[in-house]
Amino acid sequence: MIEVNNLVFEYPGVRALNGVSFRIESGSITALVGPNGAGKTTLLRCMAALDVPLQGEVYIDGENIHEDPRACHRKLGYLSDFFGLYDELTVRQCLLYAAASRGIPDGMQARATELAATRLGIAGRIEMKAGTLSRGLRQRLAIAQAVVHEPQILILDEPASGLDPEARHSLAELFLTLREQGMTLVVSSHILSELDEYSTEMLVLRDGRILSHDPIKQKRVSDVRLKLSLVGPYDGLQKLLSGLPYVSAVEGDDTSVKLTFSGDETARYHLLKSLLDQGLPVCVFAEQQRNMQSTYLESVRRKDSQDGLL
Amino acid sequence: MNINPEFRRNLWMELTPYRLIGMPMVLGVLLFLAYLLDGRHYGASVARTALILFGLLAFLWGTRLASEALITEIRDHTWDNQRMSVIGPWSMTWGKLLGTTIYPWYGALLCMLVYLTSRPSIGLSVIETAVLMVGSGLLGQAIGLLSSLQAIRKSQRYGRFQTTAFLVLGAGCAVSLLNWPFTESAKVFWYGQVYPEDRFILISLLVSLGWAIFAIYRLIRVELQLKSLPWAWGLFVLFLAGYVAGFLGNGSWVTGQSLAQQRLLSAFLITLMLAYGTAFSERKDPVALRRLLQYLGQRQWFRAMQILPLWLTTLPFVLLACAVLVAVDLISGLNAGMQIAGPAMAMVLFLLRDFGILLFLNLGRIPKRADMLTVVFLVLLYGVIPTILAALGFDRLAGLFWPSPGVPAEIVLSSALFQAVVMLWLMARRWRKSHQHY
Repeated sequence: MIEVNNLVFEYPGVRALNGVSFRIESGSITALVGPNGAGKTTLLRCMAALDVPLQGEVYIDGENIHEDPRACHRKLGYLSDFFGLYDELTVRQCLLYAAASRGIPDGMQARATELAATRLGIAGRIEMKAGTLSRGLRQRLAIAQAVVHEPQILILDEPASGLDPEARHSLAELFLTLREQGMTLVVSSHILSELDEYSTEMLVLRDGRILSHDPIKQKRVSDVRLKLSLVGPYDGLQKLLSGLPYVSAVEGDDTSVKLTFSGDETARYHLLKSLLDQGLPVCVFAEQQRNMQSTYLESVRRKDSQDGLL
Repeated sequence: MNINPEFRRNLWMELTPYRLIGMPMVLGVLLFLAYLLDGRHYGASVARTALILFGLLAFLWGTRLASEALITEIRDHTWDNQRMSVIGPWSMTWGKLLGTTIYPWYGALLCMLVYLTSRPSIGLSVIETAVLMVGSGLLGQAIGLLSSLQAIRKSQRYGRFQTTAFLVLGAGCAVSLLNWPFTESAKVFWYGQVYPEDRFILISLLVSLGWAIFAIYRLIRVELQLKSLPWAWGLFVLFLAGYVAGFLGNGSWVTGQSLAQQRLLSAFLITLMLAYGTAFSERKDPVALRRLLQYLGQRQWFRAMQILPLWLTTLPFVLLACAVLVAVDLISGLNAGMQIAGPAMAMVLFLLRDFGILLFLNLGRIPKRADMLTVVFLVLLYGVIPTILAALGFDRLAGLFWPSPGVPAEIVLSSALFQAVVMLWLMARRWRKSHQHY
């Protein structure tokens, strides 16, 4: 669906993207994460054909977006981190303008407007001026504008910044709904907890390079991260655990460790039993929720150790 | 019927019921006052008031709104949405030009109606006067919008100073055009033909308006990422050179030169002026230059032409005009001392030197101030240093910085060539240095 090949983007004196390549399949929600200044916004703007890279290509459905940006814009919806609305216009007028400017014929604009407003839950405020809406509702209106032409792909840059927890949660639900309706989403943020609720893939960007691109949910199903703590230290705890079946990536000391366990629940029971049988004073044996934060930090750590920084 | 979405949006924003009622009320009061003060006479005083109000609305307010149209979109973060829309460049051009100024036009057209029905009889007919008024208002606004578009291409930010400059530029053009036919009637000589001045200005106005709108269209095409070759600019360079050359008559402008040579010289100076103008008004972005060099290196000529900056597009016209001047000068055999050819070649070399300075500074650490710094250097090189040398009695040395009369062409040319080579070498060195880490 989206293919990015060897993308290089420079600002005067700064290389913001350095040979970025990846592929995103349709029907996914990809979380683009990375620290501030990693190049997330630049990458999204290149993907939306708003900025032209120095090198490399972006393909949407096999079409090079920089060869014919306007044709690709029909397939794209984009919401920038600092989105803008015409405050003097009503919600209906904003959506009608968005529909008309995205090429929806006159006779179908009213229908598209109603549909987008209903989809985003702002139909009840259709006659209100955009300038009078709350932050959360403005965000919804901006997304409604971006999806009014039913794009195949929706690109959102920091969509939840400035929203309260409730609005963030409802935004997450909205993204899942849009995905169920067949849309492919790419969402950037540096707040990982907000992406955790809906992302299926995580693309980690740092210093203009891709650190990793992994699926999220699938990992959770097969691998679990366990935390094991003892009442007192046990000599050679890590070595002991590393030799046991289904156990890998053991980290910690002689009192407390974290490990990756790939067995089922019965295997987990047998692991605990064998530890207790060996006389280990286990006081904690719990599953660690593997979330975006841990996946991200793992990617960063892996990269740093490859680069010899750790 | 498909309504231009950009125009419709502006109508929604600008023409609210309160504003629609408010404008005729305010204008009505002011015009009624003029009517009362003129002893309840619907004549010259009312016409003058209506004309002033027209100027305030169309030239000042309208031009200001047109100048701010794009920066408002950028400031409010709505411009990206427009760039991602499927609105065509023509629709965007007239949607913005007429849409953002629709409210001042609403009042200005009411004033024009009053003016046309109360004015004293002058040379132009009612229709011609109406065309002149609307055309000059539109030209001012188009120049304001065009300047802001060009400024945005250079930098995504501009402040009150620039907006005021665009306003003064646009309104200044409009006012001067509108003022002309209301003064004493005169004749214009153009390519040997005699034309009534008011009608010549009217036609010139319409042609200028056409060019201004076409230029907006071309810049909006770039903003909307439509691919364009720079033929339109080339056409404009030729048009302007030809238009200005038409005003030269048989009276000798440069002694000892034929009319054809004088016209060629004027065309050369126009291309030179446009080369400097575009060099300062465009962005000298090292990344864009790098991309251009990359395309040229890969022999992707079509792509390279699409991103060719206007100052580089103008350069072949300067060189061509200079070459023709030199050829004619040599063939005519009238001037063994190369009265025109020598200074013309020196001016081209000085232009290359100045481009070298401009790029050298733009590739430096503080590119934001590079253009201003270049202006300072040029003032020093063309004005201050030659004046100091002249004041010290070294008049001939002034020829090292400018093709001064009385200084042998060989000396001026050698100096210009040396300076151009040094500056271009320095620029190339800085370019290599700044890009060696990639």
